[in-house]
Amino acid sequence: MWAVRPGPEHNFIDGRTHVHHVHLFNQVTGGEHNIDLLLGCPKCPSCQRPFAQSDLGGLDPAAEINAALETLHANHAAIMAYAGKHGTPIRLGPLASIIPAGHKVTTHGALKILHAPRVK
Amino acid sequence: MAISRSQINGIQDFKLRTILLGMLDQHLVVGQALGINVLEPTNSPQQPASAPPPLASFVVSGANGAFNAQITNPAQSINKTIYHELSYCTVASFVGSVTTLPVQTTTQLTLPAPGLTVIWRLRSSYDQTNWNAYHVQPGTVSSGLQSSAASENAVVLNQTNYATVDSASNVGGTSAIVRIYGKAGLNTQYPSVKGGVESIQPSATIINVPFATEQVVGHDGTDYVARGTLPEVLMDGTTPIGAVSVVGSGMLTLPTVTVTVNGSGNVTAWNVVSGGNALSDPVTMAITGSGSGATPGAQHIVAGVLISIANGTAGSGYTPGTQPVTVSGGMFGGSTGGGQSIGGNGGRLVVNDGTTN
Repeated sequence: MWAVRPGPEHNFIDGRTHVHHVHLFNQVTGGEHNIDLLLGCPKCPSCQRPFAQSDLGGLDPAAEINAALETLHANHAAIMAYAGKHGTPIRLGPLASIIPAGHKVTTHGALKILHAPRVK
Repeated sequence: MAISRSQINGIQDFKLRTILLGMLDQHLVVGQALGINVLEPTNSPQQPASAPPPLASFVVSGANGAFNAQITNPAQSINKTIYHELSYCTVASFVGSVTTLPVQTTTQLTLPAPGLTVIWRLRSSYDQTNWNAYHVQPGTVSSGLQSSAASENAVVLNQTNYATVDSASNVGGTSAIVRIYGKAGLNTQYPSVKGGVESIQPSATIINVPFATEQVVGHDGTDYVARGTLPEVLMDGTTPIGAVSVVGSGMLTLPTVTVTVNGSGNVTAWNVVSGGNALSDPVTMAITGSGSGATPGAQHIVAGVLISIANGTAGSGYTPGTQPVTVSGGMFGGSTGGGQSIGGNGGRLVVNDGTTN
């Protein structure tokens, strides 16, 4: 249920700051998690002088995203199981867009609440 | 051809004169309302209206550190450009320090001026030359002070967040990662509070952060930024989140170093035989054997490799020739955590409310 938010504004390199920003979101709960890969210029820890960034090959954004998604998916499954087991509603964030089968969403003022089916 | 009242008054016939004067008065009333003069036509409808306009009504109120003025043009000035000049003073007589705002043709004004209590007045003109009399609004108006909710994100008062900002080495040990997360643990979001408004901010992982550095993390509403100092995240629009002292590398290869000792037993040079690897802090060096007092100078480390050592104190009593040096350290311990003190605001002005993180 976690995914990279669609659109170039959610997966891009800031050409000014040399940071690769990736915005992840949970389509069910509206949760958000950002990944920021620094592509900038390293420096000497002793004299603080900068030296050239010669190799960014050690950075694999896809691997980083997949690793984060794997962890987030596992956490999400555990949260949903917990909510189902104890009958606890889940307050949704504004990015929530998918209602899982058997669940329902109620609105309470500005709040959107996801109700999981009770697991016995 | 222009028609004037004096021309009509010169007519002998009473009935005709009365009729024409009545028509003239009606034309003048309509002409003033429309900004034209059909009895004396010109190419510019604005030109004849040199007389000052009737008084405009206005109301100035203050809230949230700003004055808001609303001007209502007189009905007679419809279709005309009317210039307004607002001014204010702390005394009703408007003697002394009077602040006059730039002339405007709009009928609304917002003037940021926190904490000001003044009296307002207005005058108006069609040509910015002939002005009507000042219209003073009775009583003083206070702008009040700016509320927290209306302040920019970097304004430090009455806001806080409950993020934890810490660091760890990545799996490969090649660089560090900085994590921003909530009280429920990694990858969980955290609340931030500004004034009376609480909002939930995304968690984040910042990857490829240099070992053994100081990082201050800010959030610009969408993305996190990691900077070396607090002022770098204090621009408007960015919320300081927390500071972290990033851990050092755990995979360290110490360099090999020797010294050159002259015939008098003084150290004349520090020689880097091999630069080592993954150094995140200057190494500690001790010359093996006899002698004392010699200390190295500044170490130049590039990409975790020791490149050179400047000469420091020469010392004395060392064995002439090339002597080995015992090397240790080289890894900056850093500190996990940071940015998780009370209020979660490393380096920020907050009130210690006694709660724990």
